[in-house]
Amino acid sequence: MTRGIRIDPAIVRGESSPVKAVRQAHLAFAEAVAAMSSLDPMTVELVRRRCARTHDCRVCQSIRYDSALQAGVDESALAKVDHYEDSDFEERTKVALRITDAIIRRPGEMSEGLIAHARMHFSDEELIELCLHIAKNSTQKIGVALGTDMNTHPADERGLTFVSSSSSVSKATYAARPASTTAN
Amino acid sequence: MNGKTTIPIPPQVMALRPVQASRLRDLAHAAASRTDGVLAELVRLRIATLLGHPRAGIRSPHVDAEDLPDGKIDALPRYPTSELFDERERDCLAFAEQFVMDVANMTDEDAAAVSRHFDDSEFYAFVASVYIADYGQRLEMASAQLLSDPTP
Repeated sequence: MTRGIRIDPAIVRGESSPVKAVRQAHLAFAEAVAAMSSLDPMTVELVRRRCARTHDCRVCQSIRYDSALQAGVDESALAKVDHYEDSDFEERTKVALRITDAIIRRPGEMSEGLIAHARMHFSDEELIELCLHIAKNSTQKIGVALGTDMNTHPADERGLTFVSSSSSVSKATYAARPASTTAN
Repeated sequence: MNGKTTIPIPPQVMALRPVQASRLRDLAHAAASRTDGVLAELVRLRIATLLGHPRAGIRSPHVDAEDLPDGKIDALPRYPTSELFDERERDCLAFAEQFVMDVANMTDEDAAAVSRHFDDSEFYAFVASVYIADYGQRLEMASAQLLSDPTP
């Protein structure tokens, strides 16, 4: 399987693009979702990681948010997401990741057990935020399909980029940091 | 003909997170304004079937039978061989299936089969409209199961 660039990136990002309105609407949706605050940052980040791994979005897998790092989501936690059922994540986190998998794979086939556990561990507001985060993270699929999901930001020797803000896509700053200064 | 938004925003999202619901609707409108409405409806209907959406097979009120006959909707499961579908529609439906089921394994050839029918801006808008058809319906199905309907 190959994934080259399948569209002129300027069409997606350019100021004079005829589809600028689509791009702006995409970013506005992403920013509105990122600005929500009922769901805790750790759950948000682990769900983002699950979406990125499932969709194989390259840039999403290489981004690290300061807010998530401050919430304790280090490289060790991120590595557990692939095999979360066998991990030491608390049950609430596992339920969030099971809901993520259900929405990504078979959204019509959530088991009664999963629905009961979802309502046990999350409020209605947290559940709707979880669904919206999964939808927002899955805009990754657009970039993957177009082959524009490469990381063009400054990155460290591991290919990781650190983002100073998770609440505003347009105001975020992207930087590489030496591995020795980051959580691992 | 460019399309109108055919994705209903789930009432649970409208009630609990109206700003985010509005932004999602804006994205749907923006993508629909740059995409052929009949093609977008064919894609939405096909995705509904793949996802097991409870209203799969039911046309959107935004696309009438003159533009999209019932017989063509009935033939949608047989689109690869049915003479009711042209090459562009077949390529776009195959692309949408790959996008929905396993975007990570979409190949350059899969994408090229569709992009040859569009210029780059049309291709981007089409892919955004496929995302809306995909996640609009996933969001609707998930919120209906996880949350009660807030409308009386």
